[in-house]
Amino acid sequence: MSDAKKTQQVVLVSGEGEQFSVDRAIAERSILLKNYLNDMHDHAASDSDSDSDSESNHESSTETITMPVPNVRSSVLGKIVEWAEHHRGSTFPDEDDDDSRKSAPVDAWDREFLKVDQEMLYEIILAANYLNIKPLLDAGCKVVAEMIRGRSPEEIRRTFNIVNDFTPEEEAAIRRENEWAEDR
Amino acid sequence: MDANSNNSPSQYVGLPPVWTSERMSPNLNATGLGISTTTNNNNSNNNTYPNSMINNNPTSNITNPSNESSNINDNNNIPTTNTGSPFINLPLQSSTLEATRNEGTLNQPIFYNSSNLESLHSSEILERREQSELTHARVFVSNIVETRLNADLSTLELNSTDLVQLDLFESTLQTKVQEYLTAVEKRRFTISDEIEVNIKMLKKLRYSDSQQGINLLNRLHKMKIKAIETESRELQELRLKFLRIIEEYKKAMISYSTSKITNTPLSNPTPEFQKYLENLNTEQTLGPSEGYVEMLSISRKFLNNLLLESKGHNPNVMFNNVTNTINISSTVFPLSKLPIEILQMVLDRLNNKIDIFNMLSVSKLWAQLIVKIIYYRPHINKKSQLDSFMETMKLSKEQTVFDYRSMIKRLNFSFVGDYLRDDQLYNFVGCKNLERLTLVFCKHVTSESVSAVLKDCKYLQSVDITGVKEISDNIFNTLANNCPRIQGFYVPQARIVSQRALSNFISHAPILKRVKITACNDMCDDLVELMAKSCPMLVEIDITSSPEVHDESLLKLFTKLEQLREFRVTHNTNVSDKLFIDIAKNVDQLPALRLLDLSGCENITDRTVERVVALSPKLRNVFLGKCNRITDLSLSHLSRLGKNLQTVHFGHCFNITDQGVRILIQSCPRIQYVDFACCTNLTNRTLYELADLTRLKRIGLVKCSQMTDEGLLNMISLRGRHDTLERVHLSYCSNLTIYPIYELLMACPKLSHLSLTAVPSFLRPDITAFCRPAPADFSDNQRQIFCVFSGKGVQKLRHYLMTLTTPTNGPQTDIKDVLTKYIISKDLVLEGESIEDCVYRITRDLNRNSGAILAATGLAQMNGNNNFSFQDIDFTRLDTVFSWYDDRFNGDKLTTAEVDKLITSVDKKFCEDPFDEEYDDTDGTIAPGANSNLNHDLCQVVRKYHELDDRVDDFEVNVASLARVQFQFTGFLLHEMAQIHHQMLELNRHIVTIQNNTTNLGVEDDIKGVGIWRMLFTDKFLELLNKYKFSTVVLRLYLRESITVLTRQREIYLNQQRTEWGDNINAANGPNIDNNTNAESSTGEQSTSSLNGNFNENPQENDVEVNGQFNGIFPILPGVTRNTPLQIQNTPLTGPGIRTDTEGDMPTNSSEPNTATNSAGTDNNRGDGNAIDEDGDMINIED
Repeated sequence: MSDAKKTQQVVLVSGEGEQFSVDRAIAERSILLKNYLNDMHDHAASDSDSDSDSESNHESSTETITMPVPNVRSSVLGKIVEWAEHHRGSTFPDEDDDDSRKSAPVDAWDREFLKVDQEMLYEIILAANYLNIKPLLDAGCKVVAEMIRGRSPEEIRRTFNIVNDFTPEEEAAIRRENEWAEDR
Repeated sequence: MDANSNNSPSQYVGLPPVWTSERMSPNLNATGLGISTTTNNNNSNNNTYPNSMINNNPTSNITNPSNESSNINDNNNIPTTNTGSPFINLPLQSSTLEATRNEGTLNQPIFYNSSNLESLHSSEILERREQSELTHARVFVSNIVETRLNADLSTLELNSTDLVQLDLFESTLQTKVQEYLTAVEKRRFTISDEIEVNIKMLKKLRYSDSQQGINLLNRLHKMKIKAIETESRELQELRLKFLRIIEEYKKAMISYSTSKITNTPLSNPTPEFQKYLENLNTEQTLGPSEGYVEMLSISRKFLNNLLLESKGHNPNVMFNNVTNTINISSTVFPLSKLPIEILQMVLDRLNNKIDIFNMLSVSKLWAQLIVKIIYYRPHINKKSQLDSFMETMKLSKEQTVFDYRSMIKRLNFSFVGDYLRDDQLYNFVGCKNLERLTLVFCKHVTSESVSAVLKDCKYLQSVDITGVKEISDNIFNTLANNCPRIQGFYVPQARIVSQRALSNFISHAPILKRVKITACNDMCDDLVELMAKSCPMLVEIDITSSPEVHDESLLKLFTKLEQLREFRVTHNTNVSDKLFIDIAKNVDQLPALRLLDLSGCENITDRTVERVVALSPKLRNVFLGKCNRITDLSLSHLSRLGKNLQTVHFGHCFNITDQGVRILIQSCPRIQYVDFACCTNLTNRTLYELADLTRLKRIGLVKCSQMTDEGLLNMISLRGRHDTLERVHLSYCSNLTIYPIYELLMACPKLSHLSLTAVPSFLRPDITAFCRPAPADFSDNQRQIFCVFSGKGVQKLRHYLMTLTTPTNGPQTDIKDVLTKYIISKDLVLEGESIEDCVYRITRDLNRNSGAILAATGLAQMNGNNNFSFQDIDFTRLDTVFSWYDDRFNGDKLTTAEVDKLITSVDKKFCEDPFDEEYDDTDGTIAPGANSNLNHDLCQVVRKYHELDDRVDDFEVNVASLARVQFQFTGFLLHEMAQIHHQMLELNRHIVTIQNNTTNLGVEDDIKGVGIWRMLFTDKFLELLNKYKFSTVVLRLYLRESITVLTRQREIYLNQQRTEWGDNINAANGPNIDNNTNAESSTGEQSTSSLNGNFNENPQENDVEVNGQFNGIFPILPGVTRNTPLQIQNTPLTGPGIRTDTEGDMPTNSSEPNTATNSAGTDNNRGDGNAIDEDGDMINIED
């Protein structure tokens, strides 16, 4: 991507209608937005093929694109923009390499960043999923995983309000069939 | 959003009223309930109990429930409310409540910034909701007494005494309920008050003006809610408890009255229950709740921080601390709302398998997600696990809760290759989503079962059956017909596979990327061409041992597959120089090629290597073993690969010489693996070159018979301590003796493989005892000379050689002996002083001066990597390093009988050798009677003790031989001394913790177990400490006596280093190397003596000495002297084999330069003489 394109402005519009103006590179941390932006751009490019190329490039770079993100509330979108701005230059472990991604510890800044109200954390995770921002989703999931790590099923049910829908027989069967996995 | 938060002062005007209104006041409750009561109906009580069973006859009630209940309500100052199953209806009510509240708050003026407002208000609402719930619960609890009790007992046949008792029981029950309620209430108020105090404090300090302050207030607030939550849970539990009592009582009464009717009277159960009730103790059952404890600890932490804070430091730090803690516990993450796919991700990130397994029983949804994770790639590491896995897998999918087979994507049985059988593998037929199958070294498995599993695996990507013995056509055909997505297939030793099957497979694997089909007789040019044509994605081809393949087909392969990264074709005399010459004509580059193996392609020459290097500048691994026409020219071509080159194999390339090796190694510093087996021209000079390769992991020098002791010793000395070497092959290097190998073992902590087959010095029963068994197909002759050490064998050999090379005679080091001799030789004994007194005096002096001595050595700065500064060791207090056995411990009160009994169950073998394979997975009993966790902890301690003991032994041996090797390893030893000290402290701390915990828990069996352990190990620890103490005395004494020399040498060293940077070192050293070569071209024994000559003739004697010594002192900086191999040779001079002809002179010889620079050096070396005399023992052993 050319520098001009990276600094091209994208205005994200939250569910409440609040506007967040960011560099295109920031917006493209979201694969959803990235694909969308690219599609729009390609579309524009193919349109402009008939015209002179340089002109259209120039035009599309200075033009501000408005992107509604109606599923995300202002406060959440603000957090996500904050995250993306911080990680402007970050590179993340290979997304295809599941193992290294799963076992990597949560980045220290991310950890601080995610020390928010639990409801907010929940919404950030949902938004990261929706916007397809893997590293953020990953960090969020790990933070949640830490909340349940080492707890007993009973504790988890109680804390997170989960109904135990097992009959004792089913529970026993599940445990029996998977006993081998406990043996490490 | 941020803009808002800056208006702080005015924003919080509204704060105080909000906070005060949240105080738990009955008025507020009343208001809150006032809203909800509008929907309530008092009379519905009895009917709405879902489980108020038995005949409910309102007319025969003994007391009037409504009266009673209003009574209680009056007491509580709470209006009458609906008590009908409040725990079911409540959420509904409170949501109405919330809605009402919400409206109310929305109408209020907004004072807070937007983000805070939300949480503040919601928490306020939440709290009110909680409080009203609480009130409901309370009322309900108090109501249950009469409603439940009276409703059901009225029909019973009871006489007047019974009724009186019943009344009494009832009132007691009520009193108790009241008591409990008061306790709960009281506790809640305490919490409220405490929080109130905190908030006031906070406001006073004006932190509330900041964003963080507000957050903190909110959090405290949430804490309060959490506490209330806990209370209402408590109340609910209370309700259940009383319900149960009443239920029980009712049952008893019913059977009592029935028994009356049937004239088999039982005694009235009421008094029993009465007694039980009276014994209920609120204090006991209602300890401080979770919420309360949590709140207390947080507010304490908070206040502490405040105190620090008021002294004026960064407020952020404080808030971070506090908020972090609170955040974790304040609210609950809405986990159950999480979309399933995200929950799956969360669970997948738990990492710990035991955690995952435990969570299976949380709910069905969780189980479903978790089994998906578990079966995605089942981890099977040992036989027992394999067996239990098979218990599940042998069931059909109808017999199990889930269809596990469909979840399996990757199967790897390589860790249990010794156990997996065909019948077990058949259990996996039907894993239709399988992507990877790895059966490396599953030696009992046959082609049939593998083939059966692979049927219908249409997503299959890779199969590795390396080591599976029987391989036939069926696997190839199955893959061809069923698995269009196959990308990788490794089948070495596919001897009997037909050309037809191969062709079928190759033409049906359009995206094949990696293929290994070796030793297949039917692999031919047609198939190679087919591969080139139908598998355009190939990046790795291994057709090792395919003699029927020719240049022409390979040419096509390389021309078509530009992305090829790895290629192996070996033992093929058809391959000639023409291949790469032609490739170069067809393509400019093979840019992707990283590995090329042409081992045993005897017809290739330097011309091939030249072309290959030109075509593939990024080549990393080159195997040219048995390409016996290769010469030094090839090495010089390869040197153009520079930093890219990592692996070179030149076994049996007997034309190559030291010169070629030198050129190669000078240009390719990142080589990790070298093999020069049977390159008989190579001499010690190659070893010196190898010293340059800092990343070297493997050296292969089998049958390089010119290698000698001093070559090896120099290499070791140049490479320094903490060498990276892992595998060293020196078989048939028949000149080698024990000492250099000992040094090698000491220098290379990672060494895991050492082969010394047919090296005469090692073919003695005491040494071959540690070598691994010869392969089964070896002849007797081969067995006799077989000598290979691997894994633990290397470790054992190291220890054994240490005992051989110690300066004293006995099998164990007696460092005292060394010290005594040293003291005498230095004339340190005063008139009329005994040796013991002298040692004591010296120790005392040393303890006082240690700091100065160690500082004076200047080694701390030079080493540069001292995480464990030896200056921190308090030598005067060494005796108390292990404080644990001085601690008073109850278990020591064991009676003799108990001791006798318990001690028999101690696992003695474990105490002695906890690292025996037998204990790999289990612990021995060492704390008999104690629980298994405690025993395990102590076993870990014992393991650590043994590690430490070994380390101290090493240390002792090294210190004892320090005098012999002069300053060789001083830096290393000081570092080691500090590290051991650190470890001892750690271990002690650990033991003290275990002891304290045991004492605090007060479980008698545990205490006794630990007591026994103490009896067994106190002496051992004492002994260890003594060894260490003594070694440090010797080390420090030696340093003290040598400081002048050390200081002087450091100066020279630094000076020399300064000048060396500018000089052209290689040019200056040219003649030395020539000398050296001459010396080495003669045979072993002679070479040592001629070396002496060299040494004496050397005009740079001074520098030689200093260099050599410093090389040892600064093991981290070996590179400084490496280009002057000869100069280092004073190190082996002090080694054993050399002392033959210059008996008395040798030590003086090596010390001469010192004498010239400093007289103290002479003294020092007289000490060396002593040690060297002792060293003579080793020569005897070797003979």
